[in-house]
Amino acid sequence: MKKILVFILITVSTFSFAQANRNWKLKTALSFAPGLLTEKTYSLQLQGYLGFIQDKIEWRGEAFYFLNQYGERPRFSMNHQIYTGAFYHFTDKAFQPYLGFQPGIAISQSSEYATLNTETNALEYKIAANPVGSVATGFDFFGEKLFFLFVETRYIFGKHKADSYPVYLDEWRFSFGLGLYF
Amino acid sequence: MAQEKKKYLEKGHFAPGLRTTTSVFGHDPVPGLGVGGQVRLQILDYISTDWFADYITMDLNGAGTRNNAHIGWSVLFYPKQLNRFTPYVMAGHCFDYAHVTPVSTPYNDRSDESVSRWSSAVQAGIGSHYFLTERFHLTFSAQFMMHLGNHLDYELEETSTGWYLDTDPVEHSHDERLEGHILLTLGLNYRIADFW
Repeated sequence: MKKILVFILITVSTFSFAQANRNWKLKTALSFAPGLLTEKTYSLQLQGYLGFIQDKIEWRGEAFYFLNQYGERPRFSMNHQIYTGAFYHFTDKAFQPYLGFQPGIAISQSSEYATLNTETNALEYKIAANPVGSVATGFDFFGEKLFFLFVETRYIFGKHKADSYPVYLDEWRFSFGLGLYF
Repeated sequence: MAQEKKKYLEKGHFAPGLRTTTSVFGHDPVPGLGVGGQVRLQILDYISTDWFADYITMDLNGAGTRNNAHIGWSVLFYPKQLNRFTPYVMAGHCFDYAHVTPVSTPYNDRSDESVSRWSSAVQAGIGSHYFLTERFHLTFSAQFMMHLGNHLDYELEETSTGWYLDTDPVEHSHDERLEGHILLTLGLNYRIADFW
């Protein structure tokens, strides 16, 4: 444990000292991300990402881990999503509003529409991978060292298509929190 | 002294990226949504190449699902570079896998009625890059993809109770027409190397 802590401290301080001499940043964050669906339904996801910023362009790989849905029509028992895409930062100062687009894949399972497996006579809810897209906007506020604050919202569009009826994956999602940059 | 015009595209540039694709006006009257990636390698100042892979899914009006995977390449020709904006014409070839699954319910298991096929296709179209920075650019393209060989033999029929997907139609239409569709693609690319 002690060795791991020393390694992390050395790595962080090395990145911090090196930062003054380079024109790019690495940023990472973890956050809860609530979402709004139609029919008074809400979702909760855990969001994690790693971004690389250079010349006002951020490339970001991102994952959303489905926690649950609540409200009048919870429709998924699984809706994990991964995205990769780019964001344009309008300034390179401490306060950086941005706008971006990310194509992705949703790995989802309907909790409503099952099919009958005639061999086992059991109802099955098939997990399927489907393309999704996401338009996101928000801002980062970078502290002098290490930490940044972010607020973000995104619209997600796509459809869960498996072997039963299709279900829209459309959602308006929000996230905010603290992240680390190096 | 006149300022020298910046060149955003030059031979030797290597730019990997991502793309999202909509498929329209195909075999079925429904649009598809796809995700994929591409790498762009520029051979000459006026000629570049795209090497791409796509995964597209389509909801067949609630009666079934069609999944398509493409892997292929295109040659891009730039007639003129207009600073940040560069239009192009393109043509290429790809391999295509398609799988069609009718909807099943708790009362009707149609899982054994799925059909699939491999084929190849040729595509051609127009597009444009827009450079937001020296390295990063957006691309929008529209191309017609025409499948060669047999197409999937299924029919999407409107009945009094809704849409029905028939994967074993009485009338086979193998040679009646060539299967094709239009692909509208938005791409994001970032130049990471200049090889020559």
